Amino acid sequence: MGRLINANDKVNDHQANESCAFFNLSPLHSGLHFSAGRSPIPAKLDAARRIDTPAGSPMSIFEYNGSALIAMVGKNCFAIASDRRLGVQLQTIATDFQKIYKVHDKLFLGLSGLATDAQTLYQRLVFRHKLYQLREERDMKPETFANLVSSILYEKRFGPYFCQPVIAGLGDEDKPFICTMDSIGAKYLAKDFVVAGTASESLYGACESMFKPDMEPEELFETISQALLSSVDRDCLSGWGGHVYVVTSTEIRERILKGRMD
Amino acid sequence: MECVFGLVGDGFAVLAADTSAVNSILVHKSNEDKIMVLDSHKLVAASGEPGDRVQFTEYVQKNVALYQFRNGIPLTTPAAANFMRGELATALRKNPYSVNILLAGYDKETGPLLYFIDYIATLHKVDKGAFGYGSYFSLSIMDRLYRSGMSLEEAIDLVDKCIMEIRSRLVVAPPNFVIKIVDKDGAREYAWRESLKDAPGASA
Repeated sequence: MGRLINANDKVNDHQANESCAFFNLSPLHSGLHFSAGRSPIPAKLDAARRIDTPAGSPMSIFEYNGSALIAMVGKNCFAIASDRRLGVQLQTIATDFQKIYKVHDKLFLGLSGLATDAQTLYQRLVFRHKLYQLREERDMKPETFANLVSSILYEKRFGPYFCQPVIAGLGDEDKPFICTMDSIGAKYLAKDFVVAGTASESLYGACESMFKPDMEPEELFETISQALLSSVDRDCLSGWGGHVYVVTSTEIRERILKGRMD
Repeated sequence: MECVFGLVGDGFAVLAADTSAVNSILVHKSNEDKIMVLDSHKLVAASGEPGDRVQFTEYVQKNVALYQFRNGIPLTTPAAANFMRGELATALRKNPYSVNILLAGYDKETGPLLYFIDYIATLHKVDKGAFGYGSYFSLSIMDRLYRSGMSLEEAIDLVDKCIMEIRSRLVVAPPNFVIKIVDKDGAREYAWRESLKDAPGASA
């Protein structure tokens, strides 16, 4: 790929075009070179996706709103959990923000990252799923849905949605399915758990140590809740409680967790 | 510098905004109304770039009116909020509006509602919200003193406490504020809180 050309770089057009041509990229489509001066994202979000905070040190666009998501597989069931904070950098706006959406009774989608893109992406995906339901007269399988999300994200390869989805569902014969992907749709399938969000490093550690295969729904709920709460306590951008869905082939149980409210 | 905040009470929603029109160090005017009456039962308090603020809110106002003409019924508050978010989201990656919005509305079926819409089109229904440097003070005051289902007197008292806090603690605090409310009887101006009236013009 061409070198990342920052809109604030004092690189003149000629030079930039040359480097794009060298890497066989047409300047118009390089996507990383904003020659007209008008960037697709407001200047604050532009510039290598770093934004200035009132405190001074720049944050990544993925950390603008703050989020934590986990999905875990159990015995013929799955659980998906998120935190509840909506923030604008270091200020908390709301403590009841929903990050997990139900696509159909056996398919849940969690979206971490920039909240506006999460909302836009959710609306586009629900639209596509409803069309699918009308045409196919059935619900989408989780594997199919994951492919759909992946291709929608890759469509925006050079101007992506700043979201990391977590998809959890029950597939054929109610076999649990979970996957996550990065912001341009690279799927990561897992047999045990997937995590996403600003607290992802803590979440990986907590899940790795607490997870056991083939847990029953109640034990799965306890495990995922403890993993979520202990991880978000180490992240200032996520937390303010938790939202957990435990889904089996017969029921969906939704629970709100009260953790450290800070 | 622009301070906009609002909250939901018992059967009403209140919005307050500063009334300074500022350009760098110059105050153009101190009676600029930043809370627009969107339709009979909706208020929009907008803060951000002045041009974008006026253009965007007027655009939404006219489209909301058009919907009512075409369909014979007014938009609900959630519908108006989602329309605003959609317009901001579409413009975000082309020609973004730098406007933060608090939309307060009253629907007969659902009662008062307040929506927080960021300049990057993050939409969330809230009980209390604020934008600008004033939000650091007003949100904290509201966190401490807000209860759901407050009466109008209590809510206005809370708004006044927030204004007092902003005036005393924000370094370039705006001197004047306007307060508007929306309830079952419609959207209307409630009061101005002026600590600096315009100087009378010199006589010829």
